[in-house]
Amino acid sequence: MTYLLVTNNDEIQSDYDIHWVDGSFEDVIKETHKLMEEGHELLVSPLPASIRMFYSPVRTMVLTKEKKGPSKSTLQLIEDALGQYKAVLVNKDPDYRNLEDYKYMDKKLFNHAMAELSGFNN
Amino acid sequence: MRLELNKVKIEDIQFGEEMKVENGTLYINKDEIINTLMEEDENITGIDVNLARPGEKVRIIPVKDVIEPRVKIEGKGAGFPGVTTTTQTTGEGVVNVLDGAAIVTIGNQVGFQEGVIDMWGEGARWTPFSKTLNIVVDISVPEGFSPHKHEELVRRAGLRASEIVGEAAREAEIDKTEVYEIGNFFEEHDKYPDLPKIIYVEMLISQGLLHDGYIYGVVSSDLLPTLLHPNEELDNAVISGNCVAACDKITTYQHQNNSVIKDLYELHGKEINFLGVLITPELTTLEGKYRTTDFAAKACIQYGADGVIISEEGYGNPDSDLVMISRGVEQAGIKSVLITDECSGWDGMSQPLTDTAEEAVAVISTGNVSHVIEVDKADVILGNPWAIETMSGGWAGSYDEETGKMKCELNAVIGSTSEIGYHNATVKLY
Repeated sequence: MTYLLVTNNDEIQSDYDIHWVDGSFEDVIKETHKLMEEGHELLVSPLPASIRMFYSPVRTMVLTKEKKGPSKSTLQLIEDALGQYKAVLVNKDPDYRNLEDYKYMDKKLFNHAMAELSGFNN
Repeated sequence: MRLELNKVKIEDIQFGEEMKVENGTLYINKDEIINTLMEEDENITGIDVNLARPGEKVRIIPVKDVIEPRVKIEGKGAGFPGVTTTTQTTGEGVVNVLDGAAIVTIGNQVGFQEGVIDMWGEGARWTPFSKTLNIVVDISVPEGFSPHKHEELVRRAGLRASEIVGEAAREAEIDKTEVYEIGNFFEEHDKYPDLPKIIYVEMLISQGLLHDGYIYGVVSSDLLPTLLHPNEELDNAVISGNCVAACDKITTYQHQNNSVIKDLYELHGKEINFLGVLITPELTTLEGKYRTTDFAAKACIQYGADGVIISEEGYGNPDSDLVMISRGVEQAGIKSVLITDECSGWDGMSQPLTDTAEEAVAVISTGNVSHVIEVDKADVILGNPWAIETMSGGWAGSYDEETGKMKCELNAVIGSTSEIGYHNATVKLY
């Protein structure tokens, strides 16, 4: 399996294709949704695992490069993700003051996700 | 397995020449902590140790971990096996506990880290660690040290600090002893054949740097759901590597005193047969989530559980794991109860979780992470005062420069919405 990365984090470097998003975390979700509607399948959770990471200005998603999906459930997942993301932020902006640290963390969490994916027989 | 926790009640903490307990006061030799830790790790460039007591106008921020100081006086598995000591199964023997004292490690591995303990006022109401006598350890590392190495260093040093201080309990007078004893499945079934068999599924964030847990030193993301004897968690087998999610991260102290485990123990042999703790990682990838939740449900079925209690760690994508496990066991005829916090907005009216399942209907809420509180200016800040800006969320009107009062959401307060119920909030049934 090959991957398509969707990201607005310029620290992400990979041999896989990168679909660059010139925008916000929210724009990454929207772009991921658009690519899924073209047939790419989502491989990672669209949302983070802690409130603090919701405030990250950057986000990296991993899709399949192959267009063989998506499933109904993952499409529902990305459709719900945008509303859920906005519900957490509410009256607050992404935390641009700590942008460099969020880029670092996003990269680390992305690397962890790729290590997880490499553990499956695809 | 039989574990005896001897509680040495601590009423006060003071610095002293010698690490000891006398008349309820824990005397701490500050130099011993500093010198020992610096000898053990050449990367530490400096250490500061301060004390914070309930009621003092002290703010501790950002908190990395909280650890209960103890010493094992009988039995194998001393220290934190697999981390500070050689790997050995814990959960048996005799441990002396400095009951009421806590080691609190502080400092930023990354700038946006949060987690506050206020020792007085409104903030104190929301954290369980405003009631502990805190030995606050601030560890400095070289400029340019990677966050990864920084986290590992502070994690280890905090555990070692708890061992160093814990030695004061070795010869101290014991105030009470708690006994935790459960045999194997067959023994307990023979004793209580008619009691429902309950498994506690304890989910841990397992998604990478600052988002990890460790079982005998093994990072949780490397594990399939694994059954532990409850005594193992009560006896230092599980430690925290979670440096985000202040409100619901399970600190090492909370693992050592896991409320769900202790409450299930209370009921064991009376209303339930408590089979054990299924540590279940919350992975990042969807395939990983399907694997672990499926395996967890299968394990509960295989072990013959009649009921399952599932606690979460974090908010967001782990909500999916929570409801998937519930669905998996409920479809097999096993009842499930979920324990989770909510992100329901300032008015408490938004959808509480990011995922749902029609089977997941028995839910204990540990609180709304979005609930806003107003805290006063502190007299003393232990840690990084700039972290307060992160905590206040940066929204307009959150900070009053004149009075020093600040608004923040509960998600910034350590342990405020603890999803294992180790906190101050309670549930009201309407």
